[in-house]
Amino acid sequence: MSYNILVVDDSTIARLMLTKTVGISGIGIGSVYEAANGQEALKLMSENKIDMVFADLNMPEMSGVEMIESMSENDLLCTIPVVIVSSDHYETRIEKLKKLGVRAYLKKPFKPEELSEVINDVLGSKAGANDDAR
Amino acid sequence: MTPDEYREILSEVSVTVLEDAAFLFVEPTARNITWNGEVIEANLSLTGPRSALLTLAATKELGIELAANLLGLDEDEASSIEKPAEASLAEMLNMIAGPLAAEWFGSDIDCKIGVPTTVTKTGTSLKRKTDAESCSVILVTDEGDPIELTASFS
Repeated sequence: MSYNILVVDDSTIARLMLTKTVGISGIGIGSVYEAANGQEALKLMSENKIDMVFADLNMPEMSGVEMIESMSENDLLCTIPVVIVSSDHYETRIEKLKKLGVRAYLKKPFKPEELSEVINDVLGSKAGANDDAR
Repeated sequence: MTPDEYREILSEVSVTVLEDAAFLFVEPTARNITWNGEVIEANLSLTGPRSALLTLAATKELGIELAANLLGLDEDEASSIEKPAEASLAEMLNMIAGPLAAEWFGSDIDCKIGVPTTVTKTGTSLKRKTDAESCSVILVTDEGDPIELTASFS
């Protein structure tokens, strides 16, 4: 089984780092889509089947928080698991995001094994849910 | 917190992040820098209990080396991505800003991190801030390449 991933970050290099790390995580990856802000990400999510989103918080045009709020109001997008990858260490914001449904929060700089663990946790449970549904 | 404590934390966090994220081993130095050629300056705002503009400056060559290290590529491969030096220095400053704000103000204090921007300057046009509202550290790599980090408080 392969999964489609969306990486949302205004930094080209951060997107490349995430894409590369996702590629070596051991999970079957189908397509990796990239967006530079929340607005672009929402468009990609509405046009493609996305299994998991990695998103930064501080982005121009539409931030990660605004993107998650928009996703939560959309019946189709609200089920897509989102993992935040940000340098922001403010604990209250992290807790608020988790209440909004964010599945995990990775603080930059992250280690590749931390990302792999998150992918396995999120997509592993998704695979389990798919199996249960069959 | 005293100005020396702010500077000490700026130095410690920057050294740790550069090493952890980009495998770039640096140490603080008291020597002055003479910048040559193109220097890229990344800027980012922190808005919190004490707001600051953070600046990270390094040569274009070191920026490309950082990009290569961040992506696990050689420098020729890293040069093929769009503005690799600008992108890597902006991302490094972003990575430094989060833990720096947490160390300076506490992770239970809201401090908003801005979106980084970059500007390319010639070495001679860079002037270090030395007033009481700024703190600055100079780090050098094993090969003697400098990186300057400055926080200008407002």
